[in-house]
Amino acid sequence: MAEFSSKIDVGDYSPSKKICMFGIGPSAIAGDVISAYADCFSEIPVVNVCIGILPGWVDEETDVILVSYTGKNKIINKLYDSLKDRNHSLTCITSGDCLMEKCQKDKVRLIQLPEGLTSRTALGMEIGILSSIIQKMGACDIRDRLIEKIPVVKIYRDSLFDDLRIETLIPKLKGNTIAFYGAPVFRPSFKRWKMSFNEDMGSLAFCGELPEYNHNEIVGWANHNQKDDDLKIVFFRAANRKDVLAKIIDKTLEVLEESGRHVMDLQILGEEPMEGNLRAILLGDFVSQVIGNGGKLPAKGGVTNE
Amino acid sequence: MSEPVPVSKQLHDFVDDLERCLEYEFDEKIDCDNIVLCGMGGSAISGNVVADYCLKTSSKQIVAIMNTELPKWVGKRTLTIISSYSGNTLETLESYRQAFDTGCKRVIITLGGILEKLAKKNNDPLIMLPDNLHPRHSIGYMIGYIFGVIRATGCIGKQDSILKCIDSLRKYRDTLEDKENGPAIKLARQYIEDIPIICSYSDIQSIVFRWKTQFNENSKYVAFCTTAYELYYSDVKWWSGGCRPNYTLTIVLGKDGPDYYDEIMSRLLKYLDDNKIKYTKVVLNGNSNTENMFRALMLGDYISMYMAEIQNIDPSGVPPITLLKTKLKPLIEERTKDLL
Repeated sequence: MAEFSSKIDVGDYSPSKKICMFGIGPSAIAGDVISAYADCFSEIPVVNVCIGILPGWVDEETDVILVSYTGKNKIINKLYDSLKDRNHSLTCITSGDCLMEKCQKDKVRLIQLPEGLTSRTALGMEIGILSSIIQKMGACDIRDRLIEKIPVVKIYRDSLFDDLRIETLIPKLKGNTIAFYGAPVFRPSFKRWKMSFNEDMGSLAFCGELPEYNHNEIVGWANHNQKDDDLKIVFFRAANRKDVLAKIIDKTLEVLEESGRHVMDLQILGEEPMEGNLRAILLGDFVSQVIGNGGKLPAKGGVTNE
Repeated sequence: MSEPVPVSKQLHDFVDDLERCLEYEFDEKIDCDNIVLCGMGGSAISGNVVADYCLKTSSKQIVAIMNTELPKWVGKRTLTIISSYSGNTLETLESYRQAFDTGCKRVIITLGGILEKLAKKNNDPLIMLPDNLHPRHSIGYMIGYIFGVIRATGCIGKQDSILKCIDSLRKYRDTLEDKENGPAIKLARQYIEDIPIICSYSDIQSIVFRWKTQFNENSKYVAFCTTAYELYYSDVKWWSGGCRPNYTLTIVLGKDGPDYYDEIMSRLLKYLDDNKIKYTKVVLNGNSNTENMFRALMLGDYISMYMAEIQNIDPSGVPPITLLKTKLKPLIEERTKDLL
C-alpha cells in the first residue's frame, strides 16, 4: 500500500518553513514514521501532534496536514474547524465522512483514502501519501527513500513466514503484559506494537523511550517489590550500530540482567529510520496476528500493510 | 558539597523554590526561531512541564529532547537550553556537542561537572543550581530558570497564572503532609505491591510522566502513565475485558462532576463506568488549570515518598542509575576529552 500510495499524485506544494501533522490513535502512526525520518534528514521542523491540541506556534507560515482515516474523529474535525479560516496551507487525508464533506464544502485540499480499510490497516497508504507531500514541500527526500526501500521491505515481509526467531519470540510474549521501549526514532514502531497487542491479543501493553528509561524507569525495573510476574520487557534498537546510543543500551541491558530482569532485545535491520520502522512495524503486526490467531500463520499476501 | 537535604524537605520546599525562581530574568533578549530543551531524567522533567505549559500559547515551537541526538532542523536560529543537574550526563553532553557544532545559541543550567567547564570555556550563559538536592527535586529551580530564559525570546509572557496560585499550593501542601488522612498517604497505601497506571489530560502529560518517574525512583516501582486520548482511542476496550488485579488504574481530574474540562476525558470516564472497569478517581479541585497542574505534580511526588516510607526504604537512593553511570564513565571520558 505504501508503494501504491507513494505514486498517487498529491498535487503541487510550495517550499515549506515548518510542517505540522495531526492524527489521533492509529491515524497518528504514519505521522510518527514521517517525523522520525524528518528529524534525521529535514532542515525544517516536521512535527506530528497526536494529543489533539493546536500548538500556539502553528501560524500562517505553517503547513498543516490532518490525518483521520474514517474522517469521523471529533478532535480532528474540531482542529479542522479551528484551522480552516486561518491563512494556512491545509491538507486533509481521509476516506470520507465529516472531514471529507467539510473539505469539499470549503474547497480545502483533500487526498482521499480508499474505503474498506480500518484506521490501522490504512497505515501504508497514509505513509506513502504523507511522504509524497513532505517531499514536495521540500523538507527531505523521504518519498524517494521510501520507494528505494520498498523492495527490501517486501522481501523482509515475505521472509517473516519462515523466520525461526519468531517461533522463539512468541512464547515469551504470549499471555504476558509487555512494555515496549525504543529510541525516539522507533517511536512509531513501539506505539504500533502496543496497539497491535491491544487489538489482536486483547492484552495490556505499554511503551516508553530509551535512553530516558535509564534515568528513572530502570530503578523500578531493577527492583522486584511488586506483583509483576506477568510483566515482560522488549527493547527495540537498530542492529549493527556502534554509536553512543548503542553503547548506552548495551550497558542498560547489563544492569537489568545483573538485577535479574531479562530483556527481549529486538535488533532491527535498516540503515535509516524509514526502513527500520517499516521492518519493525511489519514484524509487530505479524507477531501479534500469529498470537491473536492462536499460533496460526496469517495467509500470505494478506498480512499487513506494505 | 553540603549535606543532602532530606527528600521530605526537598518536596516541602518545591513551592518556595518555584515562587523564587519564577522571578528570575535572563539578562539579554534572545533572537531565535525555535527552542530546544535538552536534558535527561530529573533534569528533563522541568523542560517537559514548561513545554506542556507553553504548548497552546507560545508563538515559538518549544521541544523537549531526551536523547543523544538533536533533530537535523536545529540550526543557528535555534535556542538550546541544556540542563543537567550533575553536569556529567552523557546524553546531555552529546546534545551540547551537537549544539556547539551547529553553532546554535546555548544556555546552560547545571550544578557543575563537565557541562559547567564547557560553558565557561565557550562563554555560554551559565545558570548555577544549588548543590544539595537530588536532580529530580531541583524541579522548582529548573522550571523557574527555564521560564526566565524562554521569556527572553519574547514568545511567552510572565507566568502570572502560576504566581497567582502559589498561596493555594502552600495550603495544598499542608494537606499532602497530613500522614494520617491526607490524599497522598491514602493513595500510597493503595498502590503498595500493585503496578500503578496513571492517566490524565493530554496537556499535562508531563505531570503523569512525573508520577511514573517518581514512583520509579522514590518508590522503586515499575509504573506506567497514559493520557485520556491514548486510553480512550487505543487501550480502553481491552480494559473492559478485565484488568489484571495487580494493576491499579488512576484517573487524575481537575474537577469532579459532569462538566469535565476535556471531552475525551468525559467519554473515557463514561466508558469506564458503563463497563464497570475499576479505577480510582483523583480530583485536584484547584482554582485553575494551572493550579491543578502543579497540585498534580506535588501530589505525585508526595505519594511516591510515602510509598518508600511504607516499604521502609530510602527514597533518595537510586542504585541501578548509579551503577549504570559507573559503567558509562569511561565512555563519558572518551566522548568529552576533545571538547574540554
